[in-house]
Amino acid sequence: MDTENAEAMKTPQPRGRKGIQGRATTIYLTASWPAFQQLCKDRLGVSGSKRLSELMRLDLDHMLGKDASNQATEQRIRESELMVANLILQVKKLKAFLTKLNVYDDLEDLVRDWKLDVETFKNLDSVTEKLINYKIKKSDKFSRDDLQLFVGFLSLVREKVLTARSLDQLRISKINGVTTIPPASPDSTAPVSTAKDAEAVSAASSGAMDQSTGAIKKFLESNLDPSQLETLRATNPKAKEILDGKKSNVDRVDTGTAKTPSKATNKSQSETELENLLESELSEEEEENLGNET
Amino acid sequence: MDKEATEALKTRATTLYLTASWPIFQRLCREKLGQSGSARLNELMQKDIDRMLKRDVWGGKWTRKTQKR
Repeated sequence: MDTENAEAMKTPQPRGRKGIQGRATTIYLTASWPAFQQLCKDRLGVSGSKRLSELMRLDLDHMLGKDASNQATEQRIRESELMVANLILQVKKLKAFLTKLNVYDDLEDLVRDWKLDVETFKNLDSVTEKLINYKIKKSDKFSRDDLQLFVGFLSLVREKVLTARSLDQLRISKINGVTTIPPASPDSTAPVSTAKDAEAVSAASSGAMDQSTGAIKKFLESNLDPSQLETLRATNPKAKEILDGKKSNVDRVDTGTAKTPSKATNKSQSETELENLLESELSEEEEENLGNET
Repeated sequence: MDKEATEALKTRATTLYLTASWPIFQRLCREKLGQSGSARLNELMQKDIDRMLKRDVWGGKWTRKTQKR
């Protein structure tokens, strides 16, 4: 055993060397080790141990660097999962409430007649506009407030479907080991610290799509206090962006510059998908329970 | 395989003074590369030896060329 190794054996406890904590470690090295030690001393003026520690640190950084991208993907997946879960919960609550009011079926039929594209929700804006401008007949069971609630419900469904779709993409990217995932928006890097925050952000995100007042606002306010909104704006860029987006949406509707309706899809397909989407959200029991809560 | 290469593959327990990152390095090597920390260090060491020796060869040639000029 050479001098350096003997010295290391004498001091097995961690000790500082030029500010770096280390420890004597026994590892199996090839017979190249003495040559390596000599080369390090001759060429670099450092001991073999120190050089090997440097190499180890560089390799460690490299491996951790690879991990960082994976961890970022996993973090985004976790956030998306949380968001989807919250959206599903809100959709269920709202649907239960509308069902309890005994207006859900009629409103769904109405939207089905207008051929809402439930694949891409491209024509949701025009459908929303139709809903808002709808003249309630005497035979209709629903009121203006119910219509507004349903507009919020559709927005939530769209948000849920699109978020779930992006979540699937993220999972596929992770499985394929694709590192060139579309860059995360600045907001997505903001950590969702608690479940409450996440719920608040999710609630705010659902509100971003809303183009209604009255009942929808009440629904949102029941989830978020004004102080919470302000805090979210200040602390969470995502919430701020979403809330600002919500404002612009409302403005757009007020000025009456909504997008023109896009081409409607096949009716039968649309009907089936809409039915699947909207009706499979909640079982009867859950509807009853959640309806009571709401 | 010649005698020298066979000898180089033989390992022996050597005590080194490594940084506290060693346990993390071991775990990552096992998880990411499927090999032990020692084996990875041997690889790194061998690469570094080759690099230093290669640099010597290239440097020597370069020196001779510049000296001729």
